[in-house]
Amino acid sequence: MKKKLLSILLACAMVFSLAACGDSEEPGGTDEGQNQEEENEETPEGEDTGDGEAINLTAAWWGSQDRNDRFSNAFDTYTASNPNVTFEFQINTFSDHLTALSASAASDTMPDLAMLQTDYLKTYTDAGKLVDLTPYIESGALDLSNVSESVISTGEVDGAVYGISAGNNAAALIYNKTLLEENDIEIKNLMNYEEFMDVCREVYEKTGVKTQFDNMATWLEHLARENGTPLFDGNALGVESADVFLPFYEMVQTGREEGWLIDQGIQTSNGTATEEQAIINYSSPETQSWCSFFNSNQMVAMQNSAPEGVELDLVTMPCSDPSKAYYIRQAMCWTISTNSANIDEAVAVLNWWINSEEANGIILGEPGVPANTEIANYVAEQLDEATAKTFTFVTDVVTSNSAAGDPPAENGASQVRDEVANGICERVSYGELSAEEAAQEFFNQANEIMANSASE
Amino acid sequence: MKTAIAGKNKKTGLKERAYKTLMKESTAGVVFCLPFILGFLLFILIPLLLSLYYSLCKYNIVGEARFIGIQNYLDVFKDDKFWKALGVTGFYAVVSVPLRVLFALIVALLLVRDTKVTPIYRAMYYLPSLLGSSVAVAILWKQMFAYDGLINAIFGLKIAWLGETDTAIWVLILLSVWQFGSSMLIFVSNLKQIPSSLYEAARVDGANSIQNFFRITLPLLTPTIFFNLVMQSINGLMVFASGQIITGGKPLDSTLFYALYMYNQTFSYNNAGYGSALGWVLIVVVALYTAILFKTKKYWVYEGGL
Repeated sequence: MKKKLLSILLACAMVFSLAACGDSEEPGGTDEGQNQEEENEETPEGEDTGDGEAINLTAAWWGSQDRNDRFSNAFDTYTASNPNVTFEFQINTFSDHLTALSASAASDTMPDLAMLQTDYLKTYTDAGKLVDLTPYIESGALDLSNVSESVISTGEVDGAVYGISAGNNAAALIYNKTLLEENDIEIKNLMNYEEFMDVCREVYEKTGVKTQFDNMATWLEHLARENGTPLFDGNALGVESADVFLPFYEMVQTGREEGWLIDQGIQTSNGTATEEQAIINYSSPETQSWCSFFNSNQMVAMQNSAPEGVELDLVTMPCSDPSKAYYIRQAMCWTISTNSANIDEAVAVLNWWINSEEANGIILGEPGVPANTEIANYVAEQLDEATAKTFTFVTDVVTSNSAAGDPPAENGASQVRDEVANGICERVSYGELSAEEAAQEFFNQANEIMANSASE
Repeated sequence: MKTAIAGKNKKTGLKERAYKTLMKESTAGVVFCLPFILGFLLFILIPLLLSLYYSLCKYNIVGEARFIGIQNYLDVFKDDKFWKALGVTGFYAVVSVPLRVLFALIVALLLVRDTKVTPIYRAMYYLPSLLGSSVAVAILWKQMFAYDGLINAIFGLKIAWLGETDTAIWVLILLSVWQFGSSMLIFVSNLKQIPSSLYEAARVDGANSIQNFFRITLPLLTPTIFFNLVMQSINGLMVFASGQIITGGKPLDSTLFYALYMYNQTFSYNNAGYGSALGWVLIVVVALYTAILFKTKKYWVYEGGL
């Protein structure tokens, strides 16, 4: 009899432990979070929370191991000078980060501080998940006096600021400097398509090394901006006609016909991670690309995994009118979640992140040039060679040859960039679509997705 | 007076009854079942019903779901990628499952004899089934079939296995066939149950081993073959990890598995409502496929007993 009772009790224990598994221990459940939020509104000056009261903040971002080390070190430094504030980190790859973030948004357990790409801002602000930072900027709790208006505007949705740049970047043509110098091939900033294709041909003739295209959506975006319209305008593409996109697809088709385009099969089987790109990951000229199209800050990671003796450098992506096409990218921005229990403290951390030499002396421009211009100058003096190149590129070359960025796009933009733009270019490279068909196909599919994703 | 006694009786009765209920066989049974029942409710039934609701909504996970009726289902059938994914997954299941079952049967026949080393061999051949669906093996597979990978190096080839539409799906099919272990074990145990008296009788009648196999072994194994086919087909139609990790659906969507497309719609493009609708269509497809398999049963499965 006793044995039976014991076993039943044990079974009960199992049941409850199972139930406990489902319980999340993350800070700021729904009710608590909302109550705290109301309290916070009464005291908009965030500074007084700093004494004694233990605060735990969660910060989430995506990125390379290098970034993870620098970011977590920086946060630890904050804890060192503010012992009552501790941090937890949620670190993922880019796509897993977004998956985790949307799941946590659905259950109101979003991390207090989260890095987001501007394409995704609208989804979260529509659902009321992000804190409007405008009042904190006005009160001075978030000091943006050294951040330019155009950088702030890229984190704006409907006139309110939701995201602050984690670092400024620009789209770039990253190339194998060593290879070009050895073969006396010249390359320059602000090339147009013809000049660029001449380089591709010359490289192919002299060395057999090929050309690989990436960042397809950016090529198309540049063409749209040269046409005087943003790529996305509301729930449709900004451009009126598919012909706008034709020059890019014609270039890919030409590359395929003339043989300097890398075999799409090789490109596909290489994968998409920075370290897997054909510019640094190759075994023969036919698997090698002399160039790569990524954001400027990613050159550092590429240089770090490049073969011995290969030096990389960067110039602007080819386009006919950079002063219209180019813009400074707020590739990633920091946001604060409305279900955070300590919004004021999160704002204080963000303020420190943007304006302190202490934080930026550790981060050292890993996600790009700091948004704060004074801090950018401070950091610029301490950089390694590769990062210094990316800084010069953004501050000297792009700043004087660019226009303002476009406002965050509506829902659906990420699918157009990720799935449609890449998928269609792939079909041109495989020879399945002609340039004309590709331009039309992109135009139709992108418009359809944008219309379907309208949030109303 | 009367009521007081009744009250007292009631009280002790309650206590007794509570004790009795707790000590009943069925109570113990229910309590022991609870972990499973709770798990089933929390992780299967409730999500299942939720997804049915979401499939009728426009829902981007982050915001509120908005009811839109059967619009998602109408969109599914107009979606080219849906048909593409269905075709790819169907091809994968139809090719890889019979191959895997065949392979399992052949290896089982080799390993059915009891010697000192066969248990070791069985364990070795079972290993890929344990590891096969893991991320590590998928990455290993990706490296092996890379352009600069092991396979090209060994055979001196220059083929971008994962980059060509003709070859990429076969790399994934090969990975699936390699995981024949669990089917093999089922075959081995069933082979052992075939009474040796049947073989002895056949030998007396002068049957050779080929006749033995086709007249005795195979007919008696058909129920097991059927079971393996059904179970593996269901798994085959729901394949996800290898497509996600090794090819990501590329090249040109030639390895875009249905579950992978569903995942992309739900999490990469934040169309969770549409993704849920895709899921329910898959359930119907799997049910139909299984029903068709069951329909063919009477033509080739021997159920006469031994």
